[in-house]
Amino acid sequence: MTERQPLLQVKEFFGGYVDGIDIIHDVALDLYRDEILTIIGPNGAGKSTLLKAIVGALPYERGTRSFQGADVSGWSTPRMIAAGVGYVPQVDNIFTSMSITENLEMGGYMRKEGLRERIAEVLAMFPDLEGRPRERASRLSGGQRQMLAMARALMLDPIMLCLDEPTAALSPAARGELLSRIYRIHMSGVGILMVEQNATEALVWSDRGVVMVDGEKALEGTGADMLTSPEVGRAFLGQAEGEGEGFTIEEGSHS
Amino acid sequence: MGLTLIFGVLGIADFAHGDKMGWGMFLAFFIVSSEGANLGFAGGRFGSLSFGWGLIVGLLVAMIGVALISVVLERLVFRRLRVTGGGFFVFAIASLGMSIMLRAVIQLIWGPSNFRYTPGIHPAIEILGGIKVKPDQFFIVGITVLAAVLLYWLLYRTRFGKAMRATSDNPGLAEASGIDTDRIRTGTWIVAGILGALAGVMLGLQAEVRFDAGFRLLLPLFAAVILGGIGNPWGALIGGLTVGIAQELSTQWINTGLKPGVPFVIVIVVLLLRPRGLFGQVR
Repeated sequence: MTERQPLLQVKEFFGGYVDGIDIIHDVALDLYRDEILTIIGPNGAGKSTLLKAIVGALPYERGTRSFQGADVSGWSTPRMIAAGVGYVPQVDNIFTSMSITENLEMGGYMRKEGLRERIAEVLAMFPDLEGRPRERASRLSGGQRQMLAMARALMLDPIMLCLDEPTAALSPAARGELLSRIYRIHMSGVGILMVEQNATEALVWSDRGVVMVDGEKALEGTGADMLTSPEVGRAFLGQAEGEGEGFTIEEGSHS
Repeated sequence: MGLTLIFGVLGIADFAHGDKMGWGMFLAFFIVSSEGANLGFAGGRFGSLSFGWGLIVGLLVAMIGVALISVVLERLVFRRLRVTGGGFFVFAIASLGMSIMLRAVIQLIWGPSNFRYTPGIHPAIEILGGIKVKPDQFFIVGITVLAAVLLYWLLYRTRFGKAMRATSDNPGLAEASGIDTDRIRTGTWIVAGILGALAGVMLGLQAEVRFDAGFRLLLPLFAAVILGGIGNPWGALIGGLTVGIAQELSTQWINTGLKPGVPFVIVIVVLLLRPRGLFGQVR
């Protein structure tokens, strides 16, 4: 029996926006295709920075990144996307002056063929966006914009999707709807790496969770373990609900 | 239209656009004048128009030439400034420098005199209601509308044009989508150069060929772009017509010498009442 190969693997990974000033320190992370992995942590913990580094959108990085077993250290975002990684930034993730269809066309810019067919397939995954191809993206609601951003990232049939706080600034109802969509995308064979502030809700849908603090991986476990862990619950999930203040993890678990 | 394209897609107020028009005007003049005739591009005439194949060849040469000038200036100046993090004003001042340089070279080569593409008098013909129009002016209007249609088609119907709009909307996301934004920027300068050359040749055909003709039109051009809504080709066309007509009609009430001030008044009124222009989109 062959060992299960991770889709994405980062090791001894450092990175930042300015040379010599690391925001993420010595992070190791694996993502398998059959899982949803959610990174949680307080503001400024380096979660989004880690995600950017993984998709090649950070100016400075050290360490190794591999995707599907191949070394992709230093690869740029377009190259990562061409290799099968979809990326949805937290903000400015759609072309607001363009229509829904044009946004999807731009998402599929690198496609050599089958653009029309893929647009139809992707729209079928998001009923909210279907039937209004010429609607301008700026007229969409917050939830619909996030869906369009994901739809855009799915245009190249990625096998891994990186989502930066997809539910930020959404109503509770819209958050639930969006997370269930993400789950459905995952079930179609896409590994999901997600950064989330709404930790409790996101962990419910996740196979595994990683807690980041001060740019380091502080804790890792299954989604269920995270939800029931008194440590995470007290220190972080409580804070996400607006109850706690500080956030400390006694035992760092650098794997 | 070239100016609105550069402004809309690249966010650069290109003060050299008028002088690129000047270059288009003179490259075409080179072909239709005696130097061109020596090269075998003789004149001839199409029906009642004042020009023949010579000017058409001249127009093509002007388009290629100005597109090349635009690309060279982009590579030498704008691309470097972008890498070093130059902002809106840095680009604007740089383009002002290019404007002066381009105009000076025209003057160096052709001198400060006025020229015409084809000498002689070109009588106007009367159309409805006693309005007199020169046949050339029909040609100019026709070509301008055609250019607007083609630009609209490029921006809204082609993959490259949509990528231009995407780059204008959100350069970071465009790049992350695999769009080669450097190529798109170069392409935008080429299209704007072609449009600038076309405008210059039409200006030369309508008025006279003079080293500062394009530059003198720069402020009305900006007024037209702002009035029409930045980045909108139809807006530029309608804005251009409005500014032109307003300038001409203004002489009924004000001294002709004050005519050049009319575009300023229009810009101020538009910026106060409707900052996004007639057809501009809210971002």
